[in-house]
Amino acid sequence: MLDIQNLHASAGDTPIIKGIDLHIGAGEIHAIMGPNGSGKSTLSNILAGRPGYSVTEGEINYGGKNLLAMEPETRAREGVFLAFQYPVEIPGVGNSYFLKTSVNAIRTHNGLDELDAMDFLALCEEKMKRVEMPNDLMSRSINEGFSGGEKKRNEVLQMLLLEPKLCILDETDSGLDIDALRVVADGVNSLRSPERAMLVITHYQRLLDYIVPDRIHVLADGKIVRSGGRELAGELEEKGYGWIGKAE
Amino acid sequence: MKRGSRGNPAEAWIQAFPAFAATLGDSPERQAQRERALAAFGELGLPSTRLEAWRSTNLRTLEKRMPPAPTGHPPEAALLERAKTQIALEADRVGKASLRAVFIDGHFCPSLSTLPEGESGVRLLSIRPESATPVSFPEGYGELASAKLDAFSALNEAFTPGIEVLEFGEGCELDLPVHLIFLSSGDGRLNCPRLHITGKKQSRATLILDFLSVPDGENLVSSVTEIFLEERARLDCVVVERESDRTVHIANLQTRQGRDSELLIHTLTLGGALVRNELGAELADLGAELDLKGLYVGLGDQHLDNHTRVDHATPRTTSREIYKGILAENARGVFRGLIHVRPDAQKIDSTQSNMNLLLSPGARVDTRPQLEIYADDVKCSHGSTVGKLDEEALFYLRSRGLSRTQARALLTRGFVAEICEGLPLESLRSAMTELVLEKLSACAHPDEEGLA
Amino acid sequence: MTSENADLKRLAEEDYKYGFVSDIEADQLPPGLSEEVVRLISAKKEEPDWLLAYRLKALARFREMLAENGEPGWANIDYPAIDYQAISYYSAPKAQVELEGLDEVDPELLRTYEKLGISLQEQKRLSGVKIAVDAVFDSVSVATTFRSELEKQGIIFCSFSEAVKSHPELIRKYLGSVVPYSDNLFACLNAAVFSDGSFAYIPKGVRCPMELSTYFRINSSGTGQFERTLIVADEGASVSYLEGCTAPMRDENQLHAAVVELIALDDASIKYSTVQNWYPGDKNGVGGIYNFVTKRGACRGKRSKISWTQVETGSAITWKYPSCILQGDDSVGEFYSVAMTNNMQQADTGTKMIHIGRNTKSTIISKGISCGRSQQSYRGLVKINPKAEGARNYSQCDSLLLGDKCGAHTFPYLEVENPSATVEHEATTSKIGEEQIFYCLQRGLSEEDAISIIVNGFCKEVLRELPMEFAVEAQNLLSISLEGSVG
Repeated sequence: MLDIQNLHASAGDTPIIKGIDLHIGAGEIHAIMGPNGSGKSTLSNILAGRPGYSVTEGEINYGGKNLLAMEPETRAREGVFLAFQYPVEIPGVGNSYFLKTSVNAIRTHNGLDELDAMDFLALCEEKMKRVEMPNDLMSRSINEGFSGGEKKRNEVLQMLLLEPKLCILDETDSGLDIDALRVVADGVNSLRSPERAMLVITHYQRLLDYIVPDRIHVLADGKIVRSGGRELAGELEEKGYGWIGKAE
Repeated sequence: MKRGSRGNPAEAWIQAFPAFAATLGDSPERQAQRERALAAFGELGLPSTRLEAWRSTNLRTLEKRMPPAPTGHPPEAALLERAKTQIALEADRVGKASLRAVFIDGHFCPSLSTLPEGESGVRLLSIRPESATPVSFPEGYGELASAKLDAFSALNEAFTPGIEVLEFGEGCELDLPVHLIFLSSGDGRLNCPRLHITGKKQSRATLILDFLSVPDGENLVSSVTEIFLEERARLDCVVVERESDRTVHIANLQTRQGRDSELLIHTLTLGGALVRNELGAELADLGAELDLKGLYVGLGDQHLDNHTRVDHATPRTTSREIYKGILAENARGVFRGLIHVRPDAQKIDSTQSNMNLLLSPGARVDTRPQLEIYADDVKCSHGSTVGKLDEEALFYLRSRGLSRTQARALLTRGFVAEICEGLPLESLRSAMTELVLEKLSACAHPDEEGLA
Repeated sequence: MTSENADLKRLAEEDYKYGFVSDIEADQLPPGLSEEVVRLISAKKEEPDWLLAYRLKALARFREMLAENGEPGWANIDYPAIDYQAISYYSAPKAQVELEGLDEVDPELLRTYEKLGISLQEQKRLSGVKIAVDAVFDSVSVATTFRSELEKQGIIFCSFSEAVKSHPELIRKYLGSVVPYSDNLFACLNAAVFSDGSFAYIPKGVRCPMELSTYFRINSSGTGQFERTLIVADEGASVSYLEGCTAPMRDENQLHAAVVELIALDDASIKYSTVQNWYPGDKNGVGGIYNFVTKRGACRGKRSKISWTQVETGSAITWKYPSCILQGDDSVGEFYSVAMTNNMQQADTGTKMIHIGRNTKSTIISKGISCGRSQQSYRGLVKINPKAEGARNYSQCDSLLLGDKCGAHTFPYLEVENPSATVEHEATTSKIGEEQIFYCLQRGLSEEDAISIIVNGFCKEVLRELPMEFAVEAQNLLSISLEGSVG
């Protein structure tokens, strides 16, 4: 589903990603772990198409198409979803209005009819229960005044609504207490399916206790320095990231 | 020739005055008052950009093409007939009103107006030659909009066809808004609507001042409105300016508030080639509260200038002010907001903010928030921002599948939400929001290049 | 409080501790402004013809401007019209020939500087922090320390008159290139009659190893001081420059109309710090300096940076807007200001940030403290020109009021003509916190000390921009200026 080949990329003029190869097949969950500054978030931003990053070498193939040639909204409509590490607050724009616009933009792209207000609300209510989100969050502005946990739940709610093909979770566990983490993880796990791939980016192994990956990759200084099964997480937990440099 | 009137392009107006006055046939007293105002206007002349208050708004375009003075004749039957449909449409938009009055080029038009029957608490009187009974000048008339000091107040006093006096009676509580429609006929001339509003003790009302012009009409409108609120009165006033892009509107709105009164003014400036809103608010007694909200949305070559002056003349008065501007294409926005705290006016709480969005390379804005404070026990602040749509927010929306255009529209809408949501009465809120969104949709697509 | 009151009274009486007069023979021109006076000043300084011509042009323009519009009326200050014929335009310590070194400086003068706390002798002996000082006494520069050490690096730091002789090409190239002689009335006057000042040139790639400093002092009665400062930082150069000012107590108003021009080429940076404590006049507003100064820096080069820091506590009237013209792409302008006014002082001060180049950035932090019956205004322009893609500005102006007879005013002008720019301005005005004062009193501080520490805290963002040696002096000055404002 996602095929990254020899990716090199910079933020501004600073090279961050220095040659990554990664293949994620449908139905697979991959985790990327690594210390701060290793390039984890840059990778997620490049996949989603955030301005300010430039790919200097390599290519990314998504479902047989050249991902890098697509506008951010096209990627979203084609099923790429990024759960942001820091979801932005947008005062004055109602959350439910935004979500409806978003759901319908993607439905239209996929040749489906737009949902009307009633259908949308019904859909929303069901998904909101799953992430235990209070109703009033829908009538507020996007992320405005949301607590850290509420923001992350809102991200997962959007994921449930949009049913993407490739979910990228960027440090979704940061700033969450254990209860919120469980709720978020349950939401994500409910989306596990043979057609869907996930890329979970995290600093800590904690999240991976709840969202169990098939493969773990360790990123350091813009490169994947180790890949392995889920047992790698335990190893990292035990030894920290310090040993990575030596292994190289 | 008098000083200041030398080479004054407004000379034509002064020349035309006698004919205008003859048509009106005023009382000698009123006539003398007009002449004094005219003389003052001759002295003051049209303000130039050398004046600090007019630094960013150049009236030279006016000088090049001076609209002729008004004739003094009331609108003809044919014009009234033509205006009917447009008025009906606007009436529908606002819905039921406790009083609806229509003024064309400043002339009251009874046939298009609906005045309340019996005691409703609100009344509209006109001081004009044709009124059956002569009415004395209302209390405070001309005190706030001084014909001696302000050129456009003087011009208005000289050339207004009549003084419209709106009064909210003591203790009255109106559920339905009062809707005043000022229509410019497009006769290419100057017109000068004059309004005097009093909110008596403990009255409560919602008022809409709706400035319109016939499609593509060309006019210079110099409107003057004075509002006096007595003790514990509350007035929620919405000013909507939607004139054609060939109209120049100099709107002077001056207010004075009594003890514990509450005044809310929402100014929505959407139309007009050049609009200058001069808003002066005097908080003249303890406990008075003022809330100013403004929105200006400029497109094409529009020049929209908001000038506000909040005068905390007494202790324990409060003011809040938010103005937002969106400028696209080659439009220019100007905001100057002064908070003035007089000596010994202690315990003042005052905030002001002005936020601007520039959507196109040719758009520009000048903003000048000002604090002038002569007392020490105060809490005053102001803030101004100018910027483009938030990149971070745009990306967030696009990463959820919204197109660039959709995302921009949504953010622009979010930007104005604060102003629209503050509008009084549910029906009015949705009607006005619709107007704003209509205007915004015209701004949403231009000049995407270079701004992405 | 009684004993404190007594203390305060004492302190209030010795308000201006720099108000002594030096007994030095001065070579002073009789009052009056004329072509002859200008020619005389130029001749005394043995100036080349082009400079005399420049002065005369400025004089002509000055007369025109005065006749057309009088003195600038837009500032929020009030003073009787100045009689330009009553001012003496040249006063020099009656010194002899060229001064070769400190040893030859009039010992009385050196004592004066010692009183000012800038002992030149001391400076020479200092082994730790080095500050090269050029002292301007009335209108003439008397000594420059550490010159030889600076010369080793190719740095030129000398009096303006000397630079006219030794480096005419540099002066001719840069004089008036940032502040044209016709810029405003006072700049015009300065261009006609300036008598001396400081000149610094930092060559390519050189980081000036020590702070450069000028002390200005008006001594003679009835004189104006019209110094001219020009600092050029060539490509990649950097310099930090300090300016201090004092004047004796006199009951007539004295005019100070200086011009400062800064030029930063590619990658150069100039930090210009001022501690201004000219005599502010007495409690009733008698006497004091009219400080009408034009300061402007041009960030000509890419990635260049000019930073103004000022602590203004003196002068009867201050009219001053240190500005930056951000021409070079990615250039940076900064303005950090503390202005304190007491008694009858008036200050209208602020800055202009003119964004011309792409991605230019400016920051304005202004802190105003008004006490007594003083009036203070912040006036600042941020202009984003149509070509200044991606320009950013952040301004913050806070005013603190002590006493109910003073005024604090904020007049920012933001003019934005490029949609990719981001401009933010915030301002607050409030009374000094009674809660905070009470808290301090409860912990045993005197009211005076409480206010002093609160004011210092209020100004912290600016004070920390000052070079270390100056920061201490600035804090002391703030405390001195606060005296008499309590109670």
